[in-house]
Amino acid sequence: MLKGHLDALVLAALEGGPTHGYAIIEAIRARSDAAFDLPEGTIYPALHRLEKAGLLKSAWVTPPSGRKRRVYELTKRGIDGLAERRKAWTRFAKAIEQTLSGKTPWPA
Amino acid sequence: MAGVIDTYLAELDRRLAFDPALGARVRAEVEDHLHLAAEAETALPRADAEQRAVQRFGDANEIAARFARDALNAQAGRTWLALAATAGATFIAMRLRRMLLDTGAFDAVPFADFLDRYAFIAALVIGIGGWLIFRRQPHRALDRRFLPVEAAGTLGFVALLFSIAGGAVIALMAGRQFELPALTALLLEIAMAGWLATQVWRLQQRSRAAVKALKG
Repeated sequence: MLKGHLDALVLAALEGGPTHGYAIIEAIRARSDAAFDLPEGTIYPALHRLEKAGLLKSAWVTPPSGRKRRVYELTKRGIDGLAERRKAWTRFAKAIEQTLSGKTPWPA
Repeated sequence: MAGVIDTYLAELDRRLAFDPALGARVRAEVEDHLHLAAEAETALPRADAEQRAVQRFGDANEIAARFARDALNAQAGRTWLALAATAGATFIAMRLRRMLLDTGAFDAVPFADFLDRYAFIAALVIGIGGWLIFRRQPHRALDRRFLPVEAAGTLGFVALLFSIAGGAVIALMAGRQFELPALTALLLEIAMAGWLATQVWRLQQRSRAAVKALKG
């Protein structure tokens, strides 16, 4: 079900500002009330793919723990890409809602 | 004794051996992720917390396979680009030869003219055919997914080499007429063919290494 929407979820999770992979997966889980409890490792191929596509940029930082941490951030193209995905999702969700609700009569 | 996270990272490393630079970066990212996840499991003893973090992260082979597919898709894209660009350069060089050289040069070596033209057409057919097959089977297993790119790249490269060789023979027959524009076009063809060969070779190497690492 999530296939095809993971990129949009990742971009949305980064809307609040730069952060790392673990925080992104936690944000997705929290915002979806744990409905999207996907294997955490799936986030990294998506992050790398989005970065290569120019929607994200990233940099290493060293927090107090001393472990290197990769922090991701939306680029201008990423902000635009998120807006486009939101619009597409809204249209799609509205169409599904209308079809499933039964409020619109089927054509004779 | 290595902890659960260390064992998992070693496994991930092994699976990502097809691209050492990618492997090093992913390892560092995943290491931080798993330690953060384990530290968040405050109610569990450390060993159990690590085990839980690794379980939630997912199968190392599956994650490495996703990276491999993305990396090979990118390399396949570069290979198609190189094939199209080399065909384009070959076509331009063919047209330049037609424009710049006397017809006598073509008549003197009809076999070379035939080779120049039809090997180019063969390369186009191979390239387009391979691309269509590749596009129609996006979900093939990793060990077979990139075979059309490798085959089209290799055969297209060989066909373009024949075309370039035919063009070079014609140009040599033209003797002194063979001046800078035609020479530049021929050198460009050769350079592009070299670039194409490099891209095909990289795809073959990466594809073999990825399949081996993921099966191992």
